[in-house]
Amino acid sequence: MTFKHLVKTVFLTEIVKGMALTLKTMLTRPVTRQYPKEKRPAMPGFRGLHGLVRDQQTGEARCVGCGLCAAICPSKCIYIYTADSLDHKKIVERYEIEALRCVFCGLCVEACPYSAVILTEHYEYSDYSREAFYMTKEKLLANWDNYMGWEKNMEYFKKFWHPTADDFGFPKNQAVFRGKQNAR
Amino acid sequence: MITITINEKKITLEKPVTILEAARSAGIHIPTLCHEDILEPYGGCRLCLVEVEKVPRLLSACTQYITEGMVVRTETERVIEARRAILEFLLINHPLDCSFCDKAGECDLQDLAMKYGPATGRFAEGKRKHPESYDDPLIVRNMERCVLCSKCVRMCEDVQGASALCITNRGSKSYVEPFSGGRYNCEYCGNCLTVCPVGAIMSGLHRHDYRSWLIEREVETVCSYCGVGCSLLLQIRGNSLIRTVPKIGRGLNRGLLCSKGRFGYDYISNSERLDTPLIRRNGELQPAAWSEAITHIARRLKEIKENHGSDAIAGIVSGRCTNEDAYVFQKFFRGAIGTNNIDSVASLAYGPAQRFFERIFGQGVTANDIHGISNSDGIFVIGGDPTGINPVLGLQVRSACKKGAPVVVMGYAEGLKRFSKHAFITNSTTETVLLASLVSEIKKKKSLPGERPVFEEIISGLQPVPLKDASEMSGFGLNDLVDTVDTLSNMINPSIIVGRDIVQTSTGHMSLLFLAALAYLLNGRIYLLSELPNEQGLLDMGCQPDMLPSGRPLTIETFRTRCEETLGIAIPSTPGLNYVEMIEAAHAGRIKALYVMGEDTVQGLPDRNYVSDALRNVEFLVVQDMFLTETAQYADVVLPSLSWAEKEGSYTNLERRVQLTKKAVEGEGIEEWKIISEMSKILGLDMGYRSVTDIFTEIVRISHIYREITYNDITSGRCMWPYKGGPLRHDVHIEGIELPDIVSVMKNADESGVQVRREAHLFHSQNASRYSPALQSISPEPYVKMSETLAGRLSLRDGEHVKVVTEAGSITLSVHRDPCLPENVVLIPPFEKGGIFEITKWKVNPVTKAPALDGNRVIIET
Amino acid sequence: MVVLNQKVLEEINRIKSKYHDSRSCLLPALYIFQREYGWLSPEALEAVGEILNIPKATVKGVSTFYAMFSHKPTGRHLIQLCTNVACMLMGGERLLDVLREQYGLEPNITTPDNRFSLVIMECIGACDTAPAMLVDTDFHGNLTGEKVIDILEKYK
Repeated sequence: MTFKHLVKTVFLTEIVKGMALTLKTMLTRPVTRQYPKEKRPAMPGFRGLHGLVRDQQTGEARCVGCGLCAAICPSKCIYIYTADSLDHKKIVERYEIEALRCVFCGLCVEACPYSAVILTEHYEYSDYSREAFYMTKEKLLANWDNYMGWEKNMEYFKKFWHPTADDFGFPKNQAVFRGKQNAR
Repeated sequence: MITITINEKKITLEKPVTILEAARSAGIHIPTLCHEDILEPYGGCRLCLVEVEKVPRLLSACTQYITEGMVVRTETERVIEARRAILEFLLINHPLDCSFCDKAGECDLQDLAMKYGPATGRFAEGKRKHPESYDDPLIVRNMERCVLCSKCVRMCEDVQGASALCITNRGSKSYVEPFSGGRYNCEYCGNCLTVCPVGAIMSGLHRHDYRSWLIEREVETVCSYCGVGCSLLLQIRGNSLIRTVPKIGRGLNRGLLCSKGRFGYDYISNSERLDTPLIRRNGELQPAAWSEAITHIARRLKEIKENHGSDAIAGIVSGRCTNEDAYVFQKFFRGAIGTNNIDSVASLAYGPAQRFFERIFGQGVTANDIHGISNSDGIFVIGGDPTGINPVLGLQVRSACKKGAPVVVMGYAEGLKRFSKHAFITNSTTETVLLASLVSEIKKKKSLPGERPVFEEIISGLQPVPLKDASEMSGFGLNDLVDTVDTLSNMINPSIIVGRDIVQTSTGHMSLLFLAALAYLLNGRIYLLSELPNEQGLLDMGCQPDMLPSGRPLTIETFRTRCEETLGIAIPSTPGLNYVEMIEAAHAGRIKALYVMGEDTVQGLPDRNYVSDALRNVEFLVVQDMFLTETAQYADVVLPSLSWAEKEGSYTNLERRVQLTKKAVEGEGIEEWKIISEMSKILGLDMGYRSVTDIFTEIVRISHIYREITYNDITSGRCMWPYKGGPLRHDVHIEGIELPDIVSVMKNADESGVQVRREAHLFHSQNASRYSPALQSISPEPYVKMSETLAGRLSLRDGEHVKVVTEAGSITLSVHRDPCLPENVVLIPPFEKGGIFEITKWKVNPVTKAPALDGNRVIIET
Repeated sequence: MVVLNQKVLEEINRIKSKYHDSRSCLLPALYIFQREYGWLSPEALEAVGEILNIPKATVKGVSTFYAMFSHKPTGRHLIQLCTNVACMLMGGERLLDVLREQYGLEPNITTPDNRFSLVIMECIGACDTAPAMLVDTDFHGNLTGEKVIDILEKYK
């Protein structure tokens, strides 16, 4: 036992030190958030709950069922079932994401040529059943309405989720779909 | 030896081939859009351009043959630049709708555009507009996507021989179109879909249902429609069959398919399919549990066996059952029930014909490679349309014809109209006489080879029928017949293709003898057309009343006891009843219980009323089928069965090649062999099979024909006749063949009036096609085909409805006029409603025991 | 089916004997049909195919390749008016207005009374007598508005 140790034990310097810290932090602003009451805003580009973009004009899902998202998905959690409609158009019968298996890599969003699938900022979606995390097309569209929506987050959408050929960095000599106006 | 250098790699080749093939042999890929191995080199797409040293221009690799010392470079800057330019031109008009084009992911143009393509197009003008055509029920044409490689047109003309497609208009306005501009009205082989490199010609059946990368599994199996047994690739997502595609260059079809194989698979997902067993209670079929149904059947069979004896029970197997199912079925009948009353649909035509030829020429005489047909220098077709019954075999006939082989057709063959040198359509008795007269003329021209003295005695004993008499009787010109005799006798290496119409007549046994004589005189190979995938297998498995599964007759005691010892069962020594006799016995009330596996008996035999009466007479009828067929409606117990894509097994095709069918999707139901072994267990015979492999092992052990075959042999495609052993060609027993009295047949023949004959329909193949919506959508309503003169005399136009009346009944059908038909013949295909079997009377050939369809005189009422 | 008259059949058979295979005879046969019926209906194409034993789709492919085979019904008389450079400079296009006013003719249109059909030609090789036109197989050059009407009045 050294002298230093003896002093520590006799004068309880550590308690004094601790109390000093307590006293100091008592006077500063708290860093803890009262989570359910106070919510932390998502950072720009946050990858939260999945959503399907509802087209502004038609009110239907923008998705055409091209299946690129399902092709690129590393955890293979996107299921798309398409069919031929009576007027010979391709219709997306089912678009389903198994959110529990999703790794939120966002590759589906990048792959989508129609910017129809997105990851919203919403991150609070705990539930008691696994079924609740099986996102059907209706749920995904509702997610868009609830957590994204055109008016609400237009800027955000354009900035982060709207794919443009330049952002994608296509190889120089590759054919790119540049919209119908170019094709006339 | 030719040595060339491709991409600094030295390649030595034995014979001059194109640069494309040379590069491929060295593992160098040259892109193409218009090249296909089975088609002639075309050089239309210009994507295979390569740089050859000392040649100023770029050369197209698919048309340029190699020469000694050639130095080729396939991926130089200049070549890539040229390819990019060509792709830019193609993309001027090709729409960028890959995101909803079904071809995306397997599109050649897409791949090439990714590899070489320009980033953007410089063409500012609009794209060519051409609305997608949905006029056809099965094939969707999108001519905006077409790159005019003309593969479809060349396929249709050169390989399929249907010539239904053409390139219309010229230059930038040209596009591919069938004659009508809308509906194809062709053979619907769908081979144009296989070769289309882009999404211009697509199947409407699975349109927009899938993306190529979402297909989870592929299963290579055998088509379930006819006796050719084409290789198919089933593509599956989840538990549903998305589509069937051929394996290009693989299998005995080498990537060609017919309408049934390509479009007819949708019957397996038909909503009418049975999913639970049905038991008749209080006169109505009601759903029951599997265990209940099986015990019920076993109990009833036991009762009937005790009360009426084993021979009051009979079983019929369908040609769609696998070898394993058929084997277990016959073992159940012989071992557990103790009767030889077991037969199959093969005994209606295929079996008797084969048995007859084997009797004369020895076992395996009909086991000939179908590719041999295209190499023969002459073809004689009789009794059926090979392009309708076995379309892929029919293509071989057409291909032989293109190589210059004359085709002589006896009987109606729609698909060979443009290909036949001589065609004779007559009534069936006249057909026999005509055949007899051809044989007696050829006999004069050809010397007997002396190979089979006993048979030669028979041939020389045949009554001569002068061509003049035959010409008078048939109404064909004498010159025509003389020409035909010349054509036939000039054949050195002919193929003789025999269909069922020649067997199913009351003179069928005579015709078979004349055919055998013809085959012997001309040194021809015999091919038997088979409408069902496993008719040969059923015969081999012993589903015959007088044959053991070892391929040997059960009346010979040594064979029987050997079989009994190996299997540990007792086999009755007397042959049982065959299919036709069973129906007759049932009609007379001697058959108390009938077990029908997979066959729609009412639809498959002449005289529907007679057959339904017979089935009603049966005390206890069990039917196992996928659908509630007409036969099943008479049943006391109906068991659902699995489709060919839902179970494993093996099929033996008409050239006696054994092939495996694989399980692709899960079906609701139990495999046939499992059901039967359960029943057998209750009746006291525990077969103890755990899998299909167990059954196959037993077949291999017991069958003399199939001995030592393994699954490896089958999958390697080497499982061809005579498998592992010598054929029993010496095993002939010609004794007892009666010389036909053709002169009195000729004298007594009453060929007045109009007679009805059967037409084998391309889109119909007994009950499976009936439940395929796709095939139903292309197949027309029931019709009667008649000659122009007959229609003219009755002043009938195409499509008009008439009433066709015979002694047995009457049906209303629409009229098809056909200039090829003679006045005294009308043709009716075996449709479910309004088919030929409704108006033919019950008649059986006394020798072959095959049903006879001849002698049904019709009156046409307008 | 078109009603085949015996003359057409005979003529085709005569021409057919000149060629070593029937396929070579396809263009002359189509020409005869066009001459006899004015245009090539699908039935006519089918008939040609049947006479020559050629698949009807092939016949269609060949006939649509050539612009001078008509696949739409034409009137009794076919006017082929040139509006290429020489004829245009000499007022060929003004003749179009004359035809429009006088007969209601537009390019590729048949008059309601089925009398005339008009087709615009790219040079009929008569630039020295421009503007020029063909009526059926008769040639007329150095045209003016009045002259056109005079000529056409002869064709009823």
